[in-house]
Amino acid sequence: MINHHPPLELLFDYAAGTLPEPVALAVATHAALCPMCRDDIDAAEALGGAMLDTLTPVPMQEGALDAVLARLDEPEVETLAANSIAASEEGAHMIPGPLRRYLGAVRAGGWDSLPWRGITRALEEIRLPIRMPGFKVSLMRLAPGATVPVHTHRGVEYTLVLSGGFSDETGEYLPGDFACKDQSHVHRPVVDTDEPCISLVVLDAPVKLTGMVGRLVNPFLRM
Amino acid sequence: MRDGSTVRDTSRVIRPGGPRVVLHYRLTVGLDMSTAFVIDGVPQLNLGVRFRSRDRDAATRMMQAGARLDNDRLCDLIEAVAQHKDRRAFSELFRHFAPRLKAFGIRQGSDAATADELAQEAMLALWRKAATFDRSRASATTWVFTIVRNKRIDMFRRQRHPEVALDEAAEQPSEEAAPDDRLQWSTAGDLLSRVLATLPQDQIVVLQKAFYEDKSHSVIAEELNLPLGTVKSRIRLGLARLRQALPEEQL
Ligand SMILES: [Zn+2]
Repeated sequence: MINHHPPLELLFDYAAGTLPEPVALAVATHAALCPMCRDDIDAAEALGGAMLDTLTPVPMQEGALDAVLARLDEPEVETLAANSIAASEEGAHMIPGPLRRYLGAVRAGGWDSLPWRGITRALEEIRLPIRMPGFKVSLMRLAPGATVPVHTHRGVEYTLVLSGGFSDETGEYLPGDFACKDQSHVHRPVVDTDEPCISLVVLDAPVKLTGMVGRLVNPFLRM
Repeated sequence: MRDGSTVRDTSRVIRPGGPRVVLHYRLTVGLDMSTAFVIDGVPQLNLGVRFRSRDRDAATRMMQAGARLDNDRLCDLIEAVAQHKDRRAFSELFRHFAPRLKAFGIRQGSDAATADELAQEAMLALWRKAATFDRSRASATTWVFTIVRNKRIDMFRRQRHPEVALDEAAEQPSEEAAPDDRLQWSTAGDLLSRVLATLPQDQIVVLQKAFYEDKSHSVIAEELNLPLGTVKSRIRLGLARLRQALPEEQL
């Protein structure tokens, strides 16, 4: 049961295509797990179709159709395919589709087969291959009982729980739950499940610490 | 019009009884022959397609090009492309959608040549992605909107738009919404256009900035000098209005 959803205007921006890729990834991954939000996106996309329909057509250049017909057999240059893996691959099915395409080979064992990099004893990370100035996109795995040092955000932090869960001042977050925190939140998540908490975390600006503790270990500082 | 081309214009009335339809041939020597329709003195479309005068059906097909094709027809055509790599079906889709996609590009601030390129690239993507189209999930126009949206992001921002395919969405069982509960957005196209026309201007402006000008809700708030909460509520109201209208009119 998913209790925390992206705000509707974020789903709307996703449908209109105006979100930066890292944020769009977080929204798409949530939507892969959440039929309710999927429906909101369908609605907004249908609106986009209706708006396309209200435009007065503008004639194409002469020869445009022939030019496209001549290109139909060209091989497709697909940048995304390079990173993608077959959905049928063992262990991959537990990783939502939109996210899967940004990961390398996922072997049997699913999450465990990914190339986690230890940051502290309690925290491991995988940086996703989206290079955008001002953004940091990672999978983070926090050990049971781990806490993230208290911090506030200069920008916005989007967190989507994929496995396990955490709690903070605003409630309990379990797989599929989406959190969206900005400057107004002082944030102290605690992993209170028995298993590690794996989340997709998108930061759109550096985070400032509210205390000295954790400056060295706080992954949110490493942009 | 291309520089240096030789152009010959002839006109003739195809159906003297009905509306006055004049077919203009423009022969661009060495390249192709393009046609334009004029119905009752109003230019309809200029089709940059090869036209053979011996093809009796061509004139009829050309006339259809200016008209709106309904959703069932468009869905059939996309499926013909998906299943049989049907180039005739694709050409018909091109005549329907490409000029609309070009208008979309121009509305977003592109010059005509760039908008033309966007439309061509989107049509090429339509050819390649036709197999992913599912008429039970989206109307043809909505699906094409998502294609041109993604192509725009690809061309102008050099980013990707992470997609949620239906099978992926279905992967995770959820007790929240059974498939039957989903609203039938797939058949709502014409209805949405009509509801759209009834929305208050302040909501329309927000929707236009989002869909046509590629602006997120926070940028829209800045541009319109409105509190973020106001823009959010206009988006919510706009979508709520569509949802309310949908089931009643579909009965
Ligand atoms: Zn949701």
